[in-house]
Amino acid sequence: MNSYVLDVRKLKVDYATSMKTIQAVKGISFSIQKGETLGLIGESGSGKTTTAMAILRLLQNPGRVVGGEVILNSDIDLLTLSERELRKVRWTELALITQGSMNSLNPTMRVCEQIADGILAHKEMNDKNELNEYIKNLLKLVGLPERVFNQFPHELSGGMKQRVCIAMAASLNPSLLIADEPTSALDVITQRIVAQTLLDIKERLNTSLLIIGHDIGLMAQMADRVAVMIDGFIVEVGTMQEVLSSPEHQYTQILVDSMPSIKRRKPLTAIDERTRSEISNKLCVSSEMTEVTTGHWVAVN
Amino acid sequence: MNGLTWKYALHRIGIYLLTILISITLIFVISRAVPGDPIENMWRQLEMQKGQIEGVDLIIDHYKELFGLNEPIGIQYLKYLWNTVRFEFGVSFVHYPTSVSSMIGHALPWTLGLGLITTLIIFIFGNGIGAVFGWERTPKFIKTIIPSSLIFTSIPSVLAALFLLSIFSKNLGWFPLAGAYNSNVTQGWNWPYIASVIKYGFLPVLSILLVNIGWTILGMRAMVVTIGGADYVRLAQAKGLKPFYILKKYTVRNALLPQLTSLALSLGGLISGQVLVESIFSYPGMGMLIFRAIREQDFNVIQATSYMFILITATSVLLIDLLYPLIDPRITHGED
Repeated sequence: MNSYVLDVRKLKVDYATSMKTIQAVKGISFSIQKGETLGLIGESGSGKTTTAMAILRLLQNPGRVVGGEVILNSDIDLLTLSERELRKVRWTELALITQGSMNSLNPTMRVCEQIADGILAHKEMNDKNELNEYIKNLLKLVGLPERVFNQFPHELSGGMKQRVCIAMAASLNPSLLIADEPTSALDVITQRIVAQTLLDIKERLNTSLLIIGHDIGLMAQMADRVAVMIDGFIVEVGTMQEVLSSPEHQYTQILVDSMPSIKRRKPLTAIDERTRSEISNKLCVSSEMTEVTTGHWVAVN
Repeated sequence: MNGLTWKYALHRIGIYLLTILISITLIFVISRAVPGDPIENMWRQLEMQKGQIEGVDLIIDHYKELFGLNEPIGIQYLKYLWNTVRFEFGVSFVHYPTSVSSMIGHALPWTLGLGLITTLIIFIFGNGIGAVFGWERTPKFIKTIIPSSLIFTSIPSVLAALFLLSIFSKNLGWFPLAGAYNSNVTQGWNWPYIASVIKYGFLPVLSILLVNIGWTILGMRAMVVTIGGADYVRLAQAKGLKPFYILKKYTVRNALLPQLTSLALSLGGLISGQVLVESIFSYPGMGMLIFRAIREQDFNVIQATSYMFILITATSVLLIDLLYPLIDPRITHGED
């Protein structure tokens, strides 16, 4: 029996306004094993970030989880925790690295204070020197110079800020890191550094990683397995290798095909609206998945 | 590194001194540009009422000599600057020979006291209430009372003052009608005197407060709502921090910055509102002084009080400017 760090079952999220209700996530299931990196890819508006926020229970109004379970470490259902219990689990078991780290740090607090408050919220640490040493060590781990300790976020570059966020998320050895487009808004060289830092940290802490993004190239480098999302559904799950080399679902094929290639230039075509709604309609009828090869699941085509 | 740097402080103080120099120069130019000569006007008026006065031209000339009005304009300006810097404003025309500085010396503490207390209350309570209204965890029934904080904001402070005066002083008799303290009590640090100062000051403070606090509440509420959706607040929640800690260190701390700016900008309005309120309550402050001086055409007093108002406003803005980098670490860095 596999022990899952995260097991998401039939998760459903709605955004309900007085005018109408939009189903953003329509009953998706996936799981992450210990030490594994799962990539969640899909175009904008497919429900990737909503899924991550639902797992973290950070959905903002009018977003609401309307069904499903999110099981952490095979025993806690995150969706049923009380606020107090949830606070305890956050950061110690479940840490977030947000999208666009430019605004993820409080502009009026020093880097050290921002890392420290997360630690102190969960751990008694009366020795100030010990705490400072611990934070300095974290910064060294993500490859930042020691001066960053006392700096304010506006004194750092985008890549440095993102690495501060990684250090912060790693500060309590969580069993799962959720990285929501950790490298968006960074140039390619910085992207590489940040991605490498993230993988190094993950390796060192032996945690699991759920990484969300739309950059398939970057994902191919980082993730062990991948789940493809469209319109609130997952259409294909499998190892990165298999999904990219032999995509089974029509949408995955289009997605993989849309990747720019340096060997064979092709016209940049977008998925047309008709194909998308056909796919979506089919999924609404049935989103049942079948296993084509071991561990490679595909929704009905 | 951060906070207050010398360069920033000197820069702000330079601007402050320049503002004051320009405004006192304006006061000088305007008072010279006004048609008519106050001394001549006074004597000609007297002549019209009482009939021919012998040697009136000589008297007028004597007074002009006395006030230094016969000297070249450049010398007059320099002397004026020198005197203003030393707070030497000459004597009052109407309450001759009381010196203007002693009149201001009596009025200034009342105005500063009134202004300081109202500004403090507005800033502390306005932002506190605003933060509560904007916080997502505040119960709905508290949020529904928002509109009531705005009832008074759309009316001028003069009307609020008259309204309060007529209800609480005239009809109910809870508060005195005019003045700043009970004249039967000996002045000084004794409880009856302090109690009377509070009692007499209550309605003036309240009327300025009611009119101005709504904007602070609204501004703060909007800021807290906006910042509540910021990425760093969401991350703070993901960290498992306590909600009140997040409100304090993440939301309010950042929301206060624009509030401080708007306080600096509104100081001028606060002070001019106070002038009218003081005259309604016959509060013996600067507002009352300038109000009476304008009615009596007491030029030296008008000039001096205008200067003092500019000085108060500019100094408060300077203080806020110097305070700003202590709260927002980003400010000084833009300078170098």
